[in-house]
Amino acid sequence: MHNVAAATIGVRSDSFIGRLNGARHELALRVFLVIVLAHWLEHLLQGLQIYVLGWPVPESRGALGLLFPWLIKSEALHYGYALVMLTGLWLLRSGFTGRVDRFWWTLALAIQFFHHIEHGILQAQVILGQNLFGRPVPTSLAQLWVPRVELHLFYNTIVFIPMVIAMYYHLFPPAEETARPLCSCALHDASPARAI
Amino acid sequence: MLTSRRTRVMRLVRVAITCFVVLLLGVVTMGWIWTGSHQPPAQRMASHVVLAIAAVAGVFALARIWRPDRS
Repeated sequence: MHNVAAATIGVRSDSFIGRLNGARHELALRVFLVIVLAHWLEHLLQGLQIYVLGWPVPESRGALGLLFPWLIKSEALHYGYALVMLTGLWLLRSGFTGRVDRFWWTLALAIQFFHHIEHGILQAQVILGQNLFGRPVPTSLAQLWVPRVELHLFYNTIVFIPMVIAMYYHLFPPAEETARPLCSCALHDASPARAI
Repeated sequence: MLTSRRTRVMRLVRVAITCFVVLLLGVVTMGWIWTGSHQPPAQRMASHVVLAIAAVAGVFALARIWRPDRS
């Protein structure tokens, strides 16, 4: 079944991408979700440090940033994570064979692409040693209007929400979904019922 | 009462996503209050716009996942 379904989207089931979107899709999605949630934890913690604990913004560095302050100041790290996120969304997309789950996953990928461009602009300013618009610090396009902490919360949310909706519909396909899955992620009612 | 594995896992996933969104809405609410008193008007307005969009996205996600299951 995997071979037939993989062929319909032009992916060899024995290739790396094929396995990642076939037999290993469930595991890959779990690993990807753990990485994304760990990143979220840092940003939510940073929000709590600023908004609830009243820490100064430069001192609010999440958990890892408290132990390794250079981490949060490193544009390369932020760009690296944006790249990991973009790559993950792109690599795992073929496994989303349904109409609904694929739409939401693709939306997350498109938004993350723009988010990654924003981080690329920041990284380029660091590499070139020249900040845009005469700003004292590297500045992304949206940062011209929106402060960085709130902008990050925003970007992470608008990428994560469609990603989660896609995962939800991938796990629980709606009745009208007729596409043949490549992977074993979806749960169907054929599984044995249990008395509770 | 018989409950399929799908129904049980779905309930668990829905609750997990809901917990996350509630946490997100909490941070967004605190952010809204904090930015209201710590940022100049132009930045405050921009922060409120993006925080409001984040909150709407979170509520939208809840509305989507809690739709009745028609599998």
